[in-house]
Amino acid sequence: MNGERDEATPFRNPFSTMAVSRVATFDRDLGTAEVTVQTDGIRRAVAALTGYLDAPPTRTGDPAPGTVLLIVGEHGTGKSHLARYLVRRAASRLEDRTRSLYLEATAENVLRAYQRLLGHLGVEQVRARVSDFYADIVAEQLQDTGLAGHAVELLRRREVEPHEVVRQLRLMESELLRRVHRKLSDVTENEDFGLALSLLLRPGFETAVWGWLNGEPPAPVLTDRDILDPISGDLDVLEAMGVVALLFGDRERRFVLAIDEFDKIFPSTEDRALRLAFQKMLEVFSKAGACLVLCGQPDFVFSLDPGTAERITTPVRLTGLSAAQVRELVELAQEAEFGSRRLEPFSPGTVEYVAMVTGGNVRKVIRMCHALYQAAHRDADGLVTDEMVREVAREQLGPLSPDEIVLAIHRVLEREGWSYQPDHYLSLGQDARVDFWLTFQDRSGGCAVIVTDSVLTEADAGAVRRRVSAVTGSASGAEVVLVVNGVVAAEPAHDLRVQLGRKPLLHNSRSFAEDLAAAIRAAANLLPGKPGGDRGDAVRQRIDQINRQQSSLYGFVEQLAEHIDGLRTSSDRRLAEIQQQLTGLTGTPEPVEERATAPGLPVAVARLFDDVLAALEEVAQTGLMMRQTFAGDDEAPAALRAVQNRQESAGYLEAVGTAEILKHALVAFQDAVLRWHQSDEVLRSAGELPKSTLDALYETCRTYDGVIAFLPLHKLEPLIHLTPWTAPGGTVTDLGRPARRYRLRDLLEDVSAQVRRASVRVASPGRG
Amino acid sequence: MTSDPVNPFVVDPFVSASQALVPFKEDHDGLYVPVDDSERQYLIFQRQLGDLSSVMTSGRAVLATGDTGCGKSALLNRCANWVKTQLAQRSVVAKVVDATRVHFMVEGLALAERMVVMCDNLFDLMDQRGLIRSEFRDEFERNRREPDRVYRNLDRYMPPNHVLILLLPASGDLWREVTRYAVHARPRVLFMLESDKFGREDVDRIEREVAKWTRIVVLTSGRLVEGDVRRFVEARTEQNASRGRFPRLTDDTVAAIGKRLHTVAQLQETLQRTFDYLMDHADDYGDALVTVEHIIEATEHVSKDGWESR
Repeated sequence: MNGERDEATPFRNPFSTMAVSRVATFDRDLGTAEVTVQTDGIRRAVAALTGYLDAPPTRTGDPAPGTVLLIVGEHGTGKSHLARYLVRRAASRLEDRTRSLYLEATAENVLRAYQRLLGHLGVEQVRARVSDFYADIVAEQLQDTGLAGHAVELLRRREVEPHEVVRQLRLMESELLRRVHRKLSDVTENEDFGLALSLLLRPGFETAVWGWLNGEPPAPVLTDRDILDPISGDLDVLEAMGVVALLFGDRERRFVLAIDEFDKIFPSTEDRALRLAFQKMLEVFSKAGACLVLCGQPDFVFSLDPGTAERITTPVRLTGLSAAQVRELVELAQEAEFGSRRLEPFSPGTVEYVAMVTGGNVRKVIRMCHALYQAAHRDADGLVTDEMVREVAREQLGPLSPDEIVLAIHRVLEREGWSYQPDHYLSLGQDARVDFWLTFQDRSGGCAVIVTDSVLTEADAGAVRRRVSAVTGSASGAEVVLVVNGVVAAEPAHDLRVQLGRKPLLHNSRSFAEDLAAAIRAAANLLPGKPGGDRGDAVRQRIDQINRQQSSLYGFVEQLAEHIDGLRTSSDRRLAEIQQQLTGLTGTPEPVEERATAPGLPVAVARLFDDVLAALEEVAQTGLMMRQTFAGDDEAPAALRAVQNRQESAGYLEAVGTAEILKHALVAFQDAVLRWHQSDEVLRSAGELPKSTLDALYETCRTYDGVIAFLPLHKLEPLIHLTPWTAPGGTVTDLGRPARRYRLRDLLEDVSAQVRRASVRVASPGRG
Repeated sequence: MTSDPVNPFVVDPFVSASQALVPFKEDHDGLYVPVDDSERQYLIFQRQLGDLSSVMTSGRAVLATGDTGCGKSALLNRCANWVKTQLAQRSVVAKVVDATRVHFMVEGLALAERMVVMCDNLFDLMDQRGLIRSEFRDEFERNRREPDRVYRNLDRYMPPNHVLILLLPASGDLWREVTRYAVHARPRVLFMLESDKFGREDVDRIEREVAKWTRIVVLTSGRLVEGDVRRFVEARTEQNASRGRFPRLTDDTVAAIGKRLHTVAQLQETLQRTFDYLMDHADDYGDALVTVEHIIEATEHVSKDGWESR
């Protein structure tokens, strides 16, 4: 590989997360990296923010108009990264972190997101803002008296507390506080908010007011003052978010709030009152001169009514990277690692191929480049080939086994109560085999569901086309729904769409179950009606369908009952385990590998190690398994049999070995990071860390990446496939393989980059 | 005439410039100057309580309203002193119990809890002043955290021929608290309340709420009006002319102050501060005339001294 393969030099992958985060990509932190590979969407969003930040105050003293930025894009197109980047950029321009906030609204409701917004701000900041109003009012009155010009200056510079000035100069406190109350009520357009916020200026009210602002029922000190309703419903919360914008965006202040994954908490637009409240919130942000950045999936746009859409000042759609941009990314990553810009071991062709199969999705591109770079390193020619791209695409983008995907389709068909034949041959020949054949009593012919792996090449596409033709040739008028377990390259996707009359369904889409059901329904509607079909047939068919749905429901209830039984058994087992551990507390110490956080490591860094070690333990659970096997209780024989079964299962031992090496690598990495934190250079540093100290940490992280580079992490897969040892006692969501897989992958993927960022942040306060 | 320099705006015994006059405790009765409409309010109070028979037979409540520094406390103290003096002439012992400091214990508490804390303190305050009959002392102590029970029995707990004039902590924005006390008033009890946060509508609500049981006396302290500053300055100059030497304010200064200051507390504080400043800094204290520049200088001095280092 272009002369770089020197035996003495350790292998460095320029596409490790940490390495790439320096040039372009998904920095989990508030963006220490500049976005250097800029798409049109990124450019537009940055321009909108810059325009907002640069806008001068209006002549009337009112705030310059605010802006509402909507960033939409598929998963992995960099919405979160962009939102964080915008927030970071605004924070550095505004020189005040409380004026630029990023919120992730993952799987929450509006109230929870609002509460987190308040949590980010904190009661002190809110009180400080109220105090700002007070200071301005006191300064204004003092100015009129012409008696204490110096105090006026100090107040304007916020160098003295207004209440001190009021006390010392015996100003009319009651009247001044009344003016603050009035001002806040005007600003927030809500009497309760005005009163509650002004109470923050008086001692003893903080807990009650903060609790109420956070959605708790009003405390008696507030009900005494006629604040009677909690901030609880979506309507109240949207209004409260507007109040925050008004409070923090008032006058010449600029205030940026980014809410990531807003689509997940967006209230139903079916509700007219909510729709109006949401519109009002957007208006309030604009009126307050604040900048609201909302991020969501592309579908989010369609859920907005015209009135709301009108209030979005800058819509930005993030699309995938083009082939040229992927190429730029590859070159920049290598330049950052090796000091010179180059494309090898990639070629223009392979880069284009990567762009095509990933759809330019930044996250997928980097993950794929990482694997490809490694594959090229192992290869004699040292170059990335088309075959490697195909191989990696299959590994990375088609995560389920054929059995699993068939099972997933079964579940959808059962749920809908449709009549179907699995693994059905419509005529002789392998091509005429369909994975599912559905028939409908009032329709002629049927609907075939065909499952295929990724369609990346012309050959793949040809095979699928043959299967489709075989179906339509064998059963006249049959409809075909194609399910792809992986990805479809752009060109075959187009051809298949033409041939099928509908898009192939990708199994990895979030709404697969709904999409599949909808596609089958649509296909069934296209089938010709059965001649002579009468109303009685239709009724019978519907009754049959209901029976099947009911039977499917019974099946689910049985599964649930089984799960509850499992819970009970597991609880007993866990109780025994806890008792054993309690006994152990007084006796032998825990084995070394069970240790938790390294003492002395900063909490933020320790948490990263804890999380990834816990995730690893969650999939392996070797220690727990062995302890139960040797427990000597009634459960032990069953545990032994389970252990034996596991050891016999394919790939298990290799997976456990990989997990074990990974664990040791993490523990050693953790120790090295701890030594760094305890080094004199770090401990003595008062501000920015010297470059040599940063380099030392960087090298430690790179060493970890170097170790991991040669660990076949995909071989952990058998552990993911096994039912977790503690599964019956876990929550239902814990049982999902994809969830376990993604959690582990997420944590392992960029642990070194995260550790580095967290360490630097903790060790050099003020860097943010 | 002695040649010692004096500050004519210091009220003896000097504790703080912010402290209200307390004629029931100190020799302050002659220091009241008719500013802020206070004289008229004082007369309203006297007229409404009349021969004090309503205090003796059913108990009363008085509420002073007005912005911070407008002289509510001084007005109530004067009213309390008048009641005390009037009753003394009839051989009735009226004792003023000052519970205004309880304010610091109840700020930020809910109304119900405020009433409890106040009542709890009342036992100690009355006990210290010999206002609890020995045979009811245990009962009162047992009930000290039960305001409803205590106020219902308050006249029974007190020695005969005694009257309690209770100065309550400021009610702030809790108009319901005023109604509670007004309704709790019992024979030989006079509750004195104040608030700097009530508006006209709050007072109307209070009057409406209690109308069925009692009639609350509402006094209003206002801001300085034209002529107030001159009256105040002349009164203090006259009262202190014989005590020592001090500079006089020019007419222009008096007029300028009138335009810049809003309350009697501000006026008191500003003049005391200015004369203190001149005593410390002026070589010719006593001969010079006090100008607006002196007042600004003294105020800036406080401002720089007090906050510069923050």
